[in-house]
Amino acid sequence: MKETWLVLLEQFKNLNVIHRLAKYEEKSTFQAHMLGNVWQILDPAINIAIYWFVFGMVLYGNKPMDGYSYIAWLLPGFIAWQFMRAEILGASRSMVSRVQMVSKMQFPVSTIPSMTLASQLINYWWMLGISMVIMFMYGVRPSLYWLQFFYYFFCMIAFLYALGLVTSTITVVVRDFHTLLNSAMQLMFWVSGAIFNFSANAIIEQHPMIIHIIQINPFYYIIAGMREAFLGTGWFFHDIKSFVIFWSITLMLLIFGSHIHLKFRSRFVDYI
Amino acid sequence: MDKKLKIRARYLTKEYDMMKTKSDKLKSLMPFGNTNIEKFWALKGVSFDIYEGDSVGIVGLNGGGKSTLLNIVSQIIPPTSGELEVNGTTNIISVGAGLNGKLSGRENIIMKCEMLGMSPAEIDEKMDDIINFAGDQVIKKIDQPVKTYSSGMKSRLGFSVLVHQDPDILIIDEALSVGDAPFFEKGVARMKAFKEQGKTIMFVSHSLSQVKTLCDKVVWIDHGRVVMEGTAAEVLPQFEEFQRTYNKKSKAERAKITRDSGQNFSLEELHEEHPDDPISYFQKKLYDKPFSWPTQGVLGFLTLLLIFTIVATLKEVPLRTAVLHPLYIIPASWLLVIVAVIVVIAGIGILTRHRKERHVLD
Repeated sequence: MKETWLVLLEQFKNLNVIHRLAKYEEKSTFQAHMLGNVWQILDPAINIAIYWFVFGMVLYGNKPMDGYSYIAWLLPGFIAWQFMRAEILGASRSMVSRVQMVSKMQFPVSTIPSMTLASQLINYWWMLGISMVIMFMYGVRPSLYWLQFFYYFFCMIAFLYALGLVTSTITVVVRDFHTLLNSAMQLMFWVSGAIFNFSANAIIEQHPMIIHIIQINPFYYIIAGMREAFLGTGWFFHDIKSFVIFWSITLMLLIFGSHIHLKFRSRFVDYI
Repeated sequence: MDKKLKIRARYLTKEYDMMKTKSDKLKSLMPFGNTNIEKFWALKGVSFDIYEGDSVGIVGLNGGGKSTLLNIVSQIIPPTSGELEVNGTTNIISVGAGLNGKLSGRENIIMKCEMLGMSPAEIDEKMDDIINFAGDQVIKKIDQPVKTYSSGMKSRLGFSVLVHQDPDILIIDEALSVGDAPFFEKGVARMKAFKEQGKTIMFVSHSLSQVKTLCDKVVWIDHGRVVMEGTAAEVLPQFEEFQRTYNKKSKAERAKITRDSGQNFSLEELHEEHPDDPISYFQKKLYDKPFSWPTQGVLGFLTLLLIFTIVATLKEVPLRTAVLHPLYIIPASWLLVIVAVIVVIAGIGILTRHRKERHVLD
């Protein structure tokens, strides 16, 4: 418990530095591109357009989902998924790519995954703003349910940081882990409900076990939660079981992550 | 001696695993793996005291353990055993300190300063000094991406950032050899200014003339041991003599000496040589700190909670019913299985802790 506390404390102490360094990181990523930061929005926008066409138009034939058109249903969950995917893959590489840089100074290495988180977040805010406009055009109106966004956002950050701490440490020691994670995220994409509406599927309705198993997945919890918040279809405190499952997974990851992080941190340089 | 003690090192050792293949590396991570990996002792019991205002040069041949020592003193890597006491902040200056090639020189300066813990106001204040110190070429290209810099310019920029920090103990690893003569002069002047402020300097260089101008005390390290310690006038002539005879040896001979000396060492021998010092100096620092009891308790509780809730979800039992009638969702036989699994995991944990010893900073 002390270890977890130590790691969390380092984050809060260095919040300003994390924020400023994240800006520079973001700047350096697209520095050589003509369109610069526009790509950060253009790239996911193209993705959304594809899924909208393939799933919304072709597969679901413009059938409304939870009372809204497919695009309005897709966006809140999908941008959360895009953010989580980019963050998880970025965070798992973050330590490896940055240790060389910080190896010759006493820098709280535990803040490196947070930096990736902060720089991806800049992107997420943009996407969120744009998708709110689109959702409004498709008939989504602000409601009290939107307050839940803050809760699910907190869930997302907590889960991503905890996972980032675990994956970044493992990647330093075993470099293959990043590639494995990449494949795992491909699979996650299909089972986390980012583009499928599992509850409106005839086959899954016959086998409720499948949906129960999917519900254990923390990604599903966040994505479905974001949808509930924006489309106003439910409250998070009505599903205590999912709540307990999500938070116990997150806390376990956090405790385990800070343990292995502190265990290996002084030897990161040896592994590079 | 009324000067304040800055660095006190007692029998510092550093052992590296010589992992030749990927499978060796994997084995070292496995709890029950074969721990029979070739070891290399880079440091074999180095002791010294450094006082306030000292400037200490460290000389020795390549692979003698100089950089390892500096990294340990600046707390970047932990020693395998021995005791290190550092009073004050340290700052290590080393060539090729990371710069981000995609960002401009100015942005790199800001980034590095931030990482070293400077506040934005401080950075603003020192920015012009840092740029001017790095020299004319850098001034011209300060808003260009660093990848367009020459390697000399890069190291000068990095060096300039680091000397504008304000540490108590400055540790320089070959960094002064990066620039041309005028830059070296500037660097030396800066070092001398540091010295006059009563700061402590540790200095590694292959250039003996640099050591002569900067250091009043020299430590000669060879194959992980201190060979000689004293003033520059005492140590340097003997070191030069040694270097000459060593260079005459063939390459294979030299490689063999290095390899053998890296293996012919054990902490017990070191202790036998110094029987009067406390045993704690000669024990490997165990870093494999297990989970503390409260942490284990919390983790165990969370695991049980998770399993319980997942089972309740899969069986579609409301949580209230599940809590009131736990046996309704988890049959007694399952309970036994769960307990058995926990016992096995705990058992493995205890066994591996005894099997494997590793070292790390506490």
